[in-house]
Amino acid sequence: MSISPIQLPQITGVEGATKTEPKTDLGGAFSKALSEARELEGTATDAAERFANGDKSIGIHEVMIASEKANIAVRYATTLKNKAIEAYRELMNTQV
Amino acid sequence: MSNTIDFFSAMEVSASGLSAQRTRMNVAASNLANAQTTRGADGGPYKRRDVVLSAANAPSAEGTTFAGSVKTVEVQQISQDTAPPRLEYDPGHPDANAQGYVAYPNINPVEEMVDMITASRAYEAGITTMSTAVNMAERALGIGK
Amino acid sequence: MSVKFSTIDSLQAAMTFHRERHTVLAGNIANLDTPGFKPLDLQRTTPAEGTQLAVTEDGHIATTAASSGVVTSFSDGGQLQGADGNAVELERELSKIDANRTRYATASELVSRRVALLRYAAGDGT
Repeated sequence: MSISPIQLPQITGVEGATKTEPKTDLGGAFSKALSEARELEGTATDAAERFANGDKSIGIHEVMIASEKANIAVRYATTLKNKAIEAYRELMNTQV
Repeated sequence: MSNTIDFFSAMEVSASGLSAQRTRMNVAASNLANAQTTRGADGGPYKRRDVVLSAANAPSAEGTTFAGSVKTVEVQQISQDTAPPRLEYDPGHPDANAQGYVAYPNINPVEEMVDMITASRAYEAGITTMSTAVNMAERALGIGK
Repeated sequence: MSVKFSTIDSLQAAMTFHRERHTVLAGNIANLDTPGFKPLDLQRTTPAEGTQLAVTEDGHIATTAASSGVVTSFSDGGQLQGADGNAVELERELSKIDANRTRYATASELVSRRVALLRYAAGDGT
């Protein structure tokens, strides 16, 4: 008599779940923030240029909001950068 | 194809309204001023003028997904009264005809005043609407301040 | 996204909608005395209802850039104002325009506050 193995149900990832960044991965968070800042700055510059050229598909609030978002993203990336540098300095100053 | 409409379109729409209403006011004023004109430019009595308005699709919204919903107004034509003139018996009048009748325009001053008032009211409403758009744009400029 | 801009994005979509609606309502004012003219309006379905398209009299459908809902224009027929078939009621349109302006201004204010908050958080409390 052959015994067939128990078929376990396939375990698939939970729909929509994203891999959470480990809290200590500052470097990863920083590079992610930097690329987002770069992207948002591009969007903001593009919006401002199109607006300046009279492109009617870009309105005042779109330009303003794009500019603020870019501003915030750059600030955030800068903060992370400063934290990373601070952490590095502390590490280097640790008396062994 | 752009799928939003911006304040420029709103201005275009409001401006068309102001222009049309001004034309109505001018025509009403002209009718009032000429209510008693028995000899106009063509020799006959002044013919009452009427402004015919029609809605149009705003050019600035053309090509957007709102093309059919953004409506300006335009003066389709300024028509002249085709009805026969009002006759008054006044043989001593220089413009009296062989039977002693003088032809006057078919103008009722009260009607013209009403037209002028409604046009004026619509003009005011257009100004208010345009100011609202300007106000909204200014609010947007203040984002982040 | 490291920074959560979703609230700002929703508010931006709302502002876009209200600006578009103003333009349509302005057309009603411009055509206050146009014979046969029936007033138009815009409505927006929220994302939750977005899957079911609203059926309108003229069936015209438009989508907003930020795509947070379907924007449809509809004929908001009021009472006939005279023998010429015009149905625009001045007071009604003006009050709609004012209410619409308020919503635009409110959304704008909320964006500003959110921006200030995010700026503060992004700067780590500075």
